[in-house]
Amino acid sequence: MISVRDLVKRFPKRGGDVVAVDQLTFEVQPGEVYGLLGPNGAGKTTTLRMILGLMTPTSGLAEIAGFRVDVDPNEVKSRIGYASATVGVYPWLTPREMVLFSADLYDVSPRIASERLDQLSELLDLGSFLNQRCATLSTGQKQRVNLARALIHDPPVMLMDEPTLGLDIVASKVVFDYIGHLRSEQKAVIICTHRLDEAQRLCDRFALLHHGKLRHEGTLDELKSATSQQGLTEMFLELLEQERDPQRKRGLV
Amino acid sequence: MPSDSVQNVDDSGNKKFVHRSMGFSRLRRLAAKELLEILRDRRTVVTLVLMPLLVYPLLGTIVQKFMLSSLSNLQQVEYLIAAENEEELAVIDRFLVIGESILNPEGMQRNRGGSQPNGSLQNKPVEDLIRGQLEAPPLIRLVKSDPDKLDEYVMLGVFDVGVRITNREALKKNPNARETVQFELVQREDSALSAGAYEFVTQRLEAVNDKWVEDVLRQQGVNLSRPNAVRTLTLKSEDEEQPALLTFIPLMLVLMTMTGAVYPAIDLTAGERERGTMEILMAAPVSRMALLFGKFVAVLAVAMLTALINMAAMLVTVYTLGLDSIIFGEQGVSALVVLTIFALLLVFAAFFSAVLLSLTSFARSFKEAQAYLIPIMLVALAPALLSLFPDLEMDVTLALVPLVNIILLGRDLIAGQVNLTLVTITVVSTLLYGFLALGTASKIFGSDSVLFGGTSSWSDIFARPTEMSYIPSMPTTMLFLSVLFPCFIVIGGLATRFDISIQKRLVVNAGVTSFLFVGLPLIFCTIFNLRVRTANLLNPPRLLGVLVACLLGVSVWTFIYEIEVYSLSETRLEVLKDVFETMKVELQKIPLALKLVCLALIPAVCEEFTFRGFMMSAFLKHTKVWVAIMATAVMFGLFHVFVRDALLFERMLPSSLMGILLGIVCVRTGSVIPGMILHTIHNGLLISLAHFENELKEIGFGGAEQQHIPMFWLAAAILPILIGFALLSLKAVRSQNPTAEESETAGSAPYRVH
Repeated sequence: MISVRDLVKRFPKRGGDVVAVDQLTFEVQPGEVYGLLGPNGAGKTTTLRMILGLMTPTSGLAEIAGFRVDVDPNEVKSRIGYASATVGVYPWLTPREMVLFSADLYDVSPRIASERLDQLSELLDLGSFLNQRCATLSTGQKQRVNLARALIHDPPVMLMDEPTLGLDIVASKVVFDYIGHLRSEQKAVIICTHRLDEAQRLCDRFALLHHGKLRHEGTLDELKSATSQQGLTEMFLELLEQERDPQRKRGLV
Repeated sequence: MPSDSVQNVDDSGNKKFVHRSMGFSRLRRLAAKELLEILRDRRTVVTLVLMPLLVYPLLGTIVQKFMLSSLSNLQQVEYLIAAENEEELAVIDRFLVIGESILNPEGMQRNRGGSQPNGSLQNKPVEDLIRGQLEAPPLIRLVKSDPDKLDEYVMLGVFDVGVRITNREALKKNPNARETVQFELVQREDSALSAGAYEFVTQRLEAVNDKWVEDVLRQQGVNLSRPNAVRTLTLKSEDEEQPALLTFIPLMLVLMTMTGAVYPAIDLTAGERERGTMEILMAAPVSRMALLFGKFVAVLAVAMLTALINMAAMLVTVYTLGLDSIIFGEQGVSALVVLTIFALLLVFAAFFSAVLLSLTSFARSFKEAQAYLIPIMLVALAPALLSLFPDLEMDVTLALVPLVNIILLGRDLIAGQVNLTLVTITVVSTLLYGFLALGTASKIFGSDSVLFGGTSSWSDIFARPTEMSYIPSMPTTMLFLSVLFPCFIVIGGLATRFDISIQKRLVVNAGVTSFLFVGLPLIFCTIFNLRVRTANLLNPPRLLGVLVACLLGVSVWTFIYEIEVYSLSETRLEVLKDVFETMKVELQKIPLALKLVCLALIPAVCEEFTFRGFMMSAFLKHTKVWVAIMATAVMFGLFHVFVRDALLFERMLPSSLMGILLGIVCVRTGSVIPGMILHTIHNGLLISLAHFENELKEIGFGGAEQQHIPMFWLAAAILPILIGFALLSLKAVRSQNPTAEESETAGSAPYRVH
C-alpha cells in the first residue's frame, strides 16, 4: 500500500547541505501499523511530508496504492489521512463545520460526509462539543477533532505525526483506540513518535531512524534478535552510544 | 505490489478518486467556509461595521464644524477705522454715511452699527451660510486713536485704516465756508484687511465727490450723459469647477475597501500557517489555485461589504449634515452614479484582494504579514494622494496606474464626466493586474519554503528557473499579459505623437508591433527559461496544414468583412467613413508592397506569435481546449478594440471570430505557422482590395457606395471554407509530434486534441 524507495531529502545550508532523510526504503501493508521511530531530528516528519507530497524529495520516490507522489499528487493525497499534533483547528468554526470542510476538500459528497461524521463522532466521542466553536475546546478535544477530520474521506492510508503529543492519559487512550480501529479497518498506518513505550504497544513493525538513515527495521522480535536488546528504549540508547563511539557500530540493516 | 494495492482499494469499496476539475458548488462551499470563518471573527466586525459607523459621522461633523468656523471668521470681517480725535471721527463718519447712502440706498440700515444677528448661524445649512456670507457687507467701527500713535497702530494692525484731516486748521477758522476737506488715509502694506478697509473708505469718499459733481452740473443745466457707463456681469463658467471634496469621496472609499480587505487576507493566508491549518489544506487533493480562489472570493466579499457599509454610512452622513451640495455640487448624485462607483470599487477590490493575497501568502505569521503590508499601503497612499490634485486629468497613461485610475474615474463619475475609453482601459488593466497577482499568490501560497520555513520564498518568484521548461505557466502568461497590455497602450500611443509622414509611420508601427508581439514573448522565454519552439508552438507545419491555411485565407475574409459591415450602424458607418476617408487617400499613395509588408505580413505574423503561440501554448496546457481557443480569441478581439485613444467596439466581434478560427487552425495543426499564413493572406487580400478599389469599380466590383461584398463572392468563398474545415478534421493536418521526451515533459498540450 505504502512504498518508499531510496528517498533522500537534502536541505541546502551554508557550509554544506544537511541530509535530513538518507536513502530511506520501506513498505507498509494494509492492516499494518508501522512505527517510524527516532529521536528529534531523525527525519521522521520530513519523511511523512514527502510521502504526503507537501515536500519535494531531492531524489527517490514514494508511492501510495501504485500512484507516485511526484506524478499523481492528487491521487496520492486523496488516499491519505493526515493527523499531526502540530496541525491546528479553525478557531471560529465548529468541529462539525471543520470536518465537513475537510470533506469538501476531499470531494466527499455532503450526504456521505454527514453520515461518516455521525460514525466518527461516536467513535471519538465528539457529540458533546460538535457544535461548539473550536477556540473553546481543550487540547484533547482538538486532537479528537483532527482525528475525525483525517478520516472523513475514509482513506486507505493514515499518516500520524506524534498523535499523542501534549495529551493526558485519557486523551491518549482515545488515540490508541482509534489506531486499533484503523487496524481493524485494514488501513495502512504510519506513526511517527519518539515515545517508545507507546510505539511498542501500538505498532506491528518498526523502523528505527537516526540522522535520516534507517538503522533497524522489523517486528519487535526481529529487532530483539538483531540488536540483542529487550526493549525499544534500550535499542535506542545503543544507537546513541554508537553515535558517540563509532567503533561499536554493528547490526546495521 | 502497486497493482495489488489498487486492487485492494477497489475491493475494500473505496471510491477511486477521480481527479475532476473543481465543480462550482464545491468551489462555492470552499469560499463559504472562508467567509464564515472571517465573519465570525470579532476583529472583522470591528473594521467592517464599527469603523464606518464611527468614522463618517465624526468626519462629517468635523467638516461641518470646520466650514462653520471658517465662515464665522468671515462673518466677523470688520474694518477698524481710526481718527485722531472726536471731531475728525464725526467728519469721516458723516462722509461715510453719505457715501454709503449713495452707493447702497437700500442696504444702509442693515449696514450700520455692526449689530448683525449672529445667533441663528448655527442652525442654517452650511451652503446657505456660504452664499449669504459672500454677499454680506462688512462691519465698520470708528475708533478714536491716540493722536501721536495713529501711524504706529495702523502699522501694528490695531486699526485697519487711519484717517487724518490735513486742513483741520483752515476748517476750524471758517467752519461754514464750503472748504474742501483734505483727508489723508493711512494703510498698511500687504494686508488684505487694511486694503479692504482702505477701499471701503475711498469708494465712499469718491461717491460723495461724484454726487457733488453731478449735482453741480445738474444745477448748471449740463447734459449728464457720460462718455461711458459700465455695468459688470459676473458669469459662471458652463463646466462647473469640480468641488474640491469630490476626489475625497472615491479616495475615502478606496482606502476603506483596502482596510476591509487587509485583515481577511492576512487571516486566510498567514493566519492558516500560524494556526497550523495550512498543512490540512496542502495535504488535500485540491489545487492551490482552487484554494486560493475560495480565499479570494471571501476577501473580495468582505472588502465589498466594507465598501457597501462605508458608502451607505457616507451618504447618510452627507445628507443628514446637509453637506451634499458642497460635496457633490448642485446636481447631486444619482443612484446610477452610486451603482457605477460600486461596480468600480468591485473591480478595484478584486485587484487589491488579489494583490493582498499574493503578499500575505509570503508571510508565515500575522506579524510578518503586517510587516509586509504596512510599507505597501504607505507606498499605495502616495499615488492616491496625488490624485487629490484637482487639476490632475485622467488620461490613457494614468488609466493604467492602479489605484490612481480608480480614484480619478470615481471622481469623474460623480462629476458626470466619463470617458468610455478610459473606463475600459482602467477596468481591463486593473483586472489583468489582479489576475497576475492571483497567479503569483498561487505560486507562493503553501509552497515548501512558506510551509516549513526557509528563506527562499521571496526569491522564488524572481528567481530565473534553472531548468528549461517547454510551456509557459499560467502566472507567467498573466505577467506577460499585464506587461503587454500597458506597453501596447503606451508605446502605441507614443508612436502616434510624432509628426511624421504616413509612410514612416507605417514602418514605425510595424516595428512597434514586432517588438510587442514577438519581442516580448521572446524576452519572456529568455527570462523564464522557456524553449522558444514549444512555448510559441513554432512546430514545422505539415503541407496539408499550409494548404488549409491558404484555402481559408483566400475565402474567410469575405464573411468576416460582411460581419463587420453588419455590426456597424448607419451613423457609425458615416462617422468612420469620415475618419478613414483622409487616411485612405494618403494610404492610396503608398506602394502596395510596403503596405502588404507593414499592414499584412508583420501584424499577422506578430499577432499570431503572441496570441496563437505564446498564450495558446500556455492555455492549452492549463485549461480545456475550448477555453484556450475562446480566451485567446477574446483577448485578440480586445486588442483590436483599442486604437490609439479611441475604442472601436465594432471590431470586437469580427476580430474575436477571426481569433476563434485562427485558434481552431492552430489547435488542429499543432502549430502557429498555418495561422500566420492564413492571417497574412487575409490581411493582404483586404488591403489589396482597398488599394485596387478604383480598378475594381471599373470592372464592376465593390465600390464605396456598395458596402457589402457581392453575393457571388460569398458563394464562391463557401467551397474553399468547407474544404478547409474538412481537411482540418483530418489527422494528417497535424504537424509532426516532437520527440517523445519533449512531449512527455510538455504534458499533453497541444497534442492532446483528437
